[in-house]
Amino acid sequence: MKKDDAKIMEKDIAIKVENLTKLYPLRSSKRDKEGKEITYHTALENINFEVKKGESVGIVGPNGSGKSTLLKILAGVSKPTTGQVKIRGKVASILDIGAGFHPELSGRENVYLNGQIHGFSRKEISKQFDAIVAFSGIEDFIDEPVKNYSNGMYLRLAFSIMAHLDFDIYLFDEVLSVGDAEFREKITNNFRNLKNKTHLYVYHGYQSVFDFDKKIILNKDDLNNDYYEEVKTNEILYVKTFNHIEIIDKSMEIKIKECLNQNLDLQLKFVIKEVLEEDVLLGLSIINQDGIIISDFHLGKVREYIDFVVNLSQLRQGNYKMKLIVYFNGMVLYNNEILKFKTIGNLALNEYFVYSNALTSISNKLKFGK
Amino acid sequence: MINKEKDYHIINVNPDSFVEYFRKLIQYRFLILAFAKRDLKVKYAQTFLGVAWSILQPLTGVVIFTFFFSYILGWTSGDLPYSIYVLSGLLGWNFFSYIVNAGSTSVQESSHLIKKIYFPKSILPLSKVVVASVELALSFLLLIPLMLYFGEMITWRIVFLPFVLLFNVLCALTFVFWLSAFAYKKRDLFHLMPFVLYFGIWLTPVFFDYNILPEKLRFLMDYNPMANVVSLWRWMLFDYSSFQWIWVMNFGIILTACLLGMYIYNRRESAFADYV
Repeated sequence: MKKDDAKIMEKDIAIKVENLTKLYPLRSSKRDKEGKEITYHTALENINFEVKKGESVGIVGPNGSGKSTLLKILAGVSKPTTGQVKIRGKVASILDIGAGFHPELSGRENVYLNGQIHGFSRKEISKQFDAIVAFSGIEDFIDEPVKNYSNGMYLRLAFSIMAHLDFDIYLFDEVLSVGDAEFREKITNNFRNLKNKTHLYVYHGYQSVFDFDKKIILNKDDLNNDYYEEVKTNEILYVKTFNHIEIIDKSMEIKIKECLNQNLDLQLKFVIKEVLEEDVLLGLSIINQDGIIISDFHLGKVREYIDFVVNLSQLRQGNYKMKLIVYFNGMVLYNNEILKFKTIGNLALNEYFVYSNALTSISNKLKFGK
Repeated sequence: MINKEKDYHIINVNPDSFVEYFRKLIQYRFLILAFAKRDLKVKYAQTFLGVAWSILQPLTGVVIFTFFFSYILGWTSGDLPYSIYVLSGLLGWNFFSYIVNAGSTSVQESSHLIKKIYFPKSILPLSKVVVASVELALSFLLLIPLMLYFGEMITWRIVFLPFVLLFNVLCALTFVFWLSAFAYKKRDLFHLMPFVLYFGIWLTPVFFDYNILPEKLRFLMDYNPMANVVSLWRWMLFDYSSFQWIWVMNFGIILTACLLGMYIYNRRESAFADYV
């Protein structure tokens, strides 16, 4: 037993990852840029983070950044090469829907088999059996072989088993991206209602259904070589206002690495310094990398100021531009790009640049339009 | 490992201790039966005859072997009717060969599972032992009527049945654990397995009485643990040939080899998921 193991982990910590590294041997060695031979693929390198009991955590990052490997290690399926993980409680690894289901067996038999594979006794499963079946809504088919189930039925049963057995930590590997919206919502609510349970979700960039308390970004290809980064919700507020234009002018560009709320709110504050006789009309468009307007907002009349919130959670991974249109006195005063941003998945506003010139010109024009 | 004082477990590169390994096996013991039950249910799913197939198979064997070896070639088997001789030989051998075959491929077979959910991997071959035991029990349904027909009585030595079964299982598991522990990266050894089973049956007195061997080759039967096991089965059931102390010695060797195999298997099993 190592010395530092003797230190007792704080009671409210569910998962503690310490200097975690995972290497996979390559079948044929490669050479790196300097010509050195590489015989290993580095899936994870020196990862550290903590998850508190009851927290829900999203793990995001581009393809190949080690999200699934991390979850496999937490699930105990794969061993780390160096470093360690301390886990408190029983772990449910939902790395695949219905892993362990046998198509020839009936729903009933699969409920027991699946529970037992996760380390529960028949007795423990029996206690929850009725609830599992009721939640899945497939009472009539529970004695039919699973191979005759529809995808939806299969999914319902698999989720129902996991939700009703007494786990402390749930690991999901993108499994919520499947299934119909109605059941997804049912699952979401169900898992949220499980008190004191810790959830970890891996996302590969689909529409998410959860708000996270915390997000873990794995990104070894990041420009600034930050392999790993952990950011807490609300530590960075994504609010840049038009009346802060002077600040933007100085910095020229603003980089925000991370936006923590998956319901990405872009809040713009527009203040008109002098009282105008006529209303200012504002419009906002989001344009994707192919130049297609995917979203149009009519912000309406502005007298003195406006606060508006743009929800960007619907966006897929990619580069976007935002265009602002200002009408005043029956004329288009301004029609230009004000923002350029990139999203990782639909979740994160990776970085954006404010066209400071554009903003200055708006305020100028508005001033003149008095 | 869940420690009461710490109440959390640690995942690092170190394998579980051997004590911890057994503790986990005990914790997951019900899974051994669950997998076995699954295999049996799946095996007989959508069949009309169901378990009868498991009796038909040795029955055909007995008929064919008796016809060729006894009737055509005229092999004798002491005072035991040849059909009983060959069936009792097949009991032990088939038990062994089923566990070896199914056990060493069990990790591959469940690769989809072991990549997604943690459980001790030894559960997989151990569950095959349970399946093989059911097959063995079904073979008895064939042996008993045959014994009644030929007027053979089961002797008091049947009390040694657990020991004989254990010896038989240990022979097979030794094979499975050593093979799995060394073949998970390079699978050549798995290709070797059918050869061993193919030739092994001829180095074991399944079809012939070892009296038909030349004197100088009989020692082979002493050093082959499976030959010991097959002889033990006949000794136990029909008092056929005499008890030999070398059997006990070989049992000791096999027990040690099996535990050592389990130990190595335990140290390597965590890497299985990365290679299957």
